[in-house]
Amino acid sequence: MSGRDDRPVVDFDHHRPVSERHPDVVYQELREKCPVAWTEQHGGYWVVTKHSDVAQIFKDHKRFSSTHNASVPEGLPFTIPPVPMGAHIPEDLDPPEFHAYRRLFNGVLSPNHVAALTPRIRHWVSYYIDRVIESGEVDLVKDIAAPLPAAVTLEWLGFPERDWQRISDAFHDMASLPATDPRAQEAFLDLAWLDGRITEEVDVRRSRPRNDAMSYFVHARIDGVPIASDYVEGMIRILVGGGVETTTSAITSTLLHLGRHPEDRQRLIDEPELWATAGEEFLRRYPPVRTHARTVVVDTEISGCLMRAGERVLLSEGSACQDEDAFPDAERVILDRFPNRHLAFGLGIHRCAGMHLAREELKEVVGQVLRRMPDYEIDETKVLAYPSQPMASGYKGVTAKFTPGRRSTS
Amino acid sequence: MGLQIHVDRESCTGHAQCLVHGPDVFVLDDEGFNCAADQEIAPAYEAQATAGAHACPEQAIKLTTDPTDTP
Repeated sequence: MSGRDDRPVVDFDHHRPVSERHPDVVYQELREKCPVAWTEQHGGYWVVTKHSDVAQIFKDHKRFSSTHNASVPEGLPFTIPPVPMGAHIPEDLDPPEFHAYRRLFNGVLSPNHVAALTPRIRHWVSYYIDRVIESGEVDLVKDIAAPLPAAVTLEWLGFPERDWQRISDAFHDMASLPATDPRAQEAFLDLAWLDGRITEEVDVRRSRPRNDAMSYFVHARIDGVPIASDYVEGMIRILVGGGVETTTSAITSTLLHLGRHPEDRQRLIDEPELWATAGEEFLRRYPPVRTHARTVVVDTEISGCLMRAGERVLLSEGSACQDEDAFPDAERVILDRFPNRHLAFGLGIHRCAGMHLAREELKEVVGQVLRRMPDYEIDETKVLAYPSQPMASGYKGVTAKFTPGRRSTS
Repeated sequence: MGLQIHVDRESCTGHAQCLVHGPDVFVLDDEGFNCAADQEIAPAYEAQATAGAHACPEQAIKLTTDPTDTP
């Protein structure tokens, strides 16, 4: 196929099943042969895979837009094709509008705020490990990695406990199933249900604020003016999604790696202070998010390729994290790798606002698992990766066995 | 002279590790980048400043003890 402007055209679609060719292999090939490439899928888009190019575009929010425009009139503008969901404030905004909303996020997700949440994180990790500790068998995803971030995030926001499982399942099903699967359709129905629940919970707090994060957003003001309900709901929506989906992937991938590499596991048990670099290295080697999309605002050249205004660009931060030019011996997990300029949380103004919370959850889970079930063994016949990984990477299930222990509470 | 910090704004990409290790020394702007001014650090906060500088993946935070060294 010949391209416009002699652009390098590749046969690529980030939605293809993992069983066909693993995305790690696909992205590696792109990095080596065609680091800035054009594909005709989904109406045509650029795919960018090298660390330097991905970082440059993430930082250049003036020329690479995250918001709606003629190319993306609706749906989530940071996905290709746009996922048909409601607003995700402020990820789908550009400056200057973006900043005031992001400031609200920073105001409750700073390292100091996360430190205050640590007792709750510790409590919920203990709680979920207690539920399996006497049995000697665990599904690392269903029993720990999925429910833990849901409990932490949804309790913090103020959703009642009866909603947690359904919300968590909806996001994991949507991320893990191809859009054609009937269960993925059900997940979309559950997300519609969640939208209704968000509206109800926001409304309740309008007249009666509670001591929770959702009330903070409901009653926040920008330039002295209360925030419209659809914007508040857009902020809650992204906090729920960002909170429950990606951290699950980080926890699962890390526990899977430590299950498969007893030498790394033992080293972390012997030298817990290694976590400062090891935690970042797990995020680099197993980034929970593979891609984010942008729209070109003005014609811009990236590594010799002319991107035209209005064209769509898929950045693979997951690929950037495996780039040999940025990370020597990139395929290896090096527990004391430093410096580690990974892009697992993205980069620039839209960098993950929940990164400090995610890091703390990952640290607490790994710490407690290594203390309470240090000899867990992965059942390799029961490691189920997401069948397609257009945006989220992760696992539907990972079963492990270990020497049973005692509950920490009665 | 005491410990001085200097943040290279060009190198900072917003990992925010300085804030984790030095919450009372470093401060991020609205875009998530380190905007701590060049300054002398009070002795009580030297440990935080040093930990924050050492944690920076971009090595964008310079520590000096002589103000004439500051670029």
